[in-house]
Amino acid sequence: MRPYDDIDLSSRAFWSTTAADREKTFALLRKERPVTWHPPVQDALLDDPDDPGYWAVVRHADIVAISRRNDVFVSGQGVLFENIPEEMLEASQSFLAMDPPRHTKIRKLVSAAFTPRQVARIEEAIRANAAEVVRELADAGSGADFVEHCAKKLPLRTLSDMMGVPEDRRVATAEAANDLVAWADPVHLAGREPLDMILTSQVYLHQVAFELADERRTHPADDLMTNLVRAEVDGERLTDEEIAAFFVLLSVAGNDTTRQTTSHVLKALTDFPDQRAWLAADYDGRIGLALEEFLRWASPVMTFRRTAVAEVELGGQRVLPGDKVVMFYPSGNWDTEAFADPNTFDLARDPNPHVAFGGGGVHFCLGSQVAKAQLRALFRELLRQLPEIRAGEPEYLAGNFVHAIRAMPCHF
Amino acid sequence: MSGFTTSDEVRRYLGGIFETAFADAELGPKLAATGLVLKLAYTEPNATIIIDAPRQQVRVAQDGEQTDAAMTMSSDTGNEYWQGKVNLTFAIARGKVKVDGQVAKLLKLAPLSKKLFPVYVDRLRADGRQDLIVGG
Repeated sequence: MRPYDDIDLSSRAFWSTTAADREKTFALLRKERPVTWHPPVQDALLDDPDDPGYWAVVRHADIVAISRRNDVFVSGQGVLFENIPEEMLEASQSFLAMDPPRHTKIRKLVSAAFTPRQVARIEEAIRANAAEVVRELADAGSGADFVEHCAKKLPLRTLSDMMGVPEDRRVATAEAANDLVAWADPVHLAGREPLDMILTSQVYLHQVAFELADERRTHPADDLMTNLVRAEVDGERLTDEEIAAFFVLLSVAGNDTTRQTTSHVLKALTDFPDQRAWLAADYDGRIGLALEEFLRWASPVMTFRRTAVAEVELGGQRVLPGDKVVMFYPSGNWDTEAFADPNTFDLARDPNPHVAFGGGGVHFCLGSQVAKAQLRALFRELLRQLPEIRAGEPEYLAGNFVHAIRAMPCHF
Repeated sequence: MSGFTTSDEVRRYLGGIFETAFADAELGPKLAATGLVLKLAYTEPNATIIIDAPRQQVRVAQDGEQTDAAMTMSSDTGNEYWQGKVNLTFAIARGKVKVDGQVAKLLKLAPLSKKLFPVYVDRLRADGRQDLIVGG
């Protein structure tokens, strides 16, 4: 047995603090012990008596190295920090938790919908939706909850449009997706058992996916679901179960990341008025660069894991086959080896090699262009329609997966 | 696979596997610790079984007996589940399995209950019930 490091990264308490508090711990590890061995997550969703723990990886360079070496650090044995019943993973992870060659084939099926060219095609719709969302926020009035009345709305509409989710299922789909990342938050759970909430949400998303797949077989449309029901891999159609698992993945990955980034950025623009003024002075000329800092600052996904399948040296440690390796993305995004003054929200930061979309390699965020198109459109509208908008105090969600803001008032 | 023909068979195999679970040194205590009293209502043929975790008992349900959690499925689906051929969340979404109450506690035991899949298949084989083995 390897000894565990004294630093705590596995407790509920650690993941119930703020990002700034956690960064103090990460900074210490980055400086002194970049790769350390830790016990499994405390009060995990699933107690696995055979789970010895994981390597914590906190440096930017190591996160990038692991992400790119998908031959050594595989995803097929799970990618979430926590242990989750295999049944649920199978039902929700799709190609996120696959390795080549299967990963390459499944990802390719959907990647056509996410190319810059395709995103440019839907950008007009995104802009129109963004304008409408901000108008609705203005109608809700100053003091309204920014998450409820703005941040969560645009990704919900974009994703539903892309996938073809019918109007009457959209809100519940986004809520179910949000449940799937909020299992560790007592307020969000409101007395529910985490696994029961996850099961209910997954089942709902599957039902939507099954219905939609059936519908698109008989009534094809210009959307992703139509492509999925028609697609073949190695001469075989995807099963409804494979399509449903992809739908869960897309619902979570598409809703929660952009939603959280939007909220974090409004807070940052409030806290750094000079940066806001700089951006507003030439929005179209500066937003391209600024977006990268939006993403670094928000670091919406905090953790993903890989499993080593070969012996490899990492940060002075010997990682053995079968070892779990957890990447802490906010730590990578605050690494002074990669970013000067990481505590400064610097919209002109250039270069900005943030790992908010992952550290590169085959699992680099498929939706990165869609996310950027939405952030670009939404902040253009916010600064245009509500130039005085300010964020109040955010309520952070407890948990080790998504850096989430549950609610945050805004004033304008 | 031809499926069960009598309620007795359903009780023997789909109830029997829980008796095996209770007897398992690793899984038994964990199953008991869930504190769950689960009603398993199988259909075609019908057989309703109570899995009483605190008492470590498997018994036939009495008429109208209420429990903390209940699952309803065809005996075919039950048979396929113990052979590792059913993903519970997909089956629930498809309406093949109906759940009532806190069944997620059982999902926590999934890695352990998976160890019983080969035990279940072995028992079918030992009893000469090749006809019940999926793909067999």
